[in-house]
Amino acid sequence: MSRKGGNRRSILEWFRIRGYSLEKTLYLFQRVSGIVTVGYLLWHLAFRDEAYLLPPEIQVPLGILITFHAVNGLRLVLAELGFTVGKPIRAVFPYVFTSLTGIQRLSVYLVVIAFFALVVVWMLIVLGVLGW
Amino acid sequence: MDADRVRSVGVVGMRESVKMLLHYIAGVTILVTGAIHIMSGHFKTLGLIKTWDLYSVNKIIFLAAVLYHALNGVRVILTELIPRRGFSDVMNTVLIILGLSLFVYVSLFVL
Repeated sequence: MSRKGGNRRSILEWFRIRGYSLEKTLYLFQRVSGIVTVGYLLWHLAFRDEAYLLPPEIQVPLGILITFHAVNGLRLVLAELGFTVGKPIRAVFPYVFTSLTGIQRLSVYLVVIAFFALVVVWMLIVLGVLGW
Repeated sequence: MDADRVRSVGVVGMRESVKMLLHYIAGVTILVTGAIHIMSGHFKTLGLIKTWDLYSVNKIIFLAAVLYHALNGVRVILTELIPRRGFSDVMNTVLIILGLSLFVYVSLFVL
């Protein structure tokens, strides 16, 4: 990433997920959901009283994006603090990325499961099925 | 100061690692305070939470955490897009002013 050349592909690079690990796809969704959430935040601060008047067609996808951002964000915090990275091993052919196997990959699967479970709960809340 | 620190310190004078650590702390804080905020709005019985004195404290903490997390996220993305020191310094200053202004305005006039 040189100063002169810059990060030319930049945002386009986020969408190049073919041939990459599942984590790259999660990275793309984390970025996109974060940007959408920032947009919602600014709107929510500007039109505070209308926050709960959003129709389900907007609340549901918005809730899905925010839920994903939160659940995957927790995984990233655990990875950043070193809990899910795994121990380094000697690089011997065929190379295995320890940071992409074991507990790290397990945490990815847990994120996906927790995400879908929370999305179901969120949809039931928005649609009025669940609530007390 | 070592060379890495000189490169990573902008106008704010905070190391990149510290900014990102605060980003993660703010994220976890949002999970807790945001959950209280959303539940108090969506569940009728939990709406009583809004009458508690500590609910205002929760909103202030939530606001501070969410503004830092959001604007730092924007900073990270823009830094990747335009990796220039001059731009980074200006952007940091603008985002700090924007964040502080939003925090003061919302906490005083909206909450």
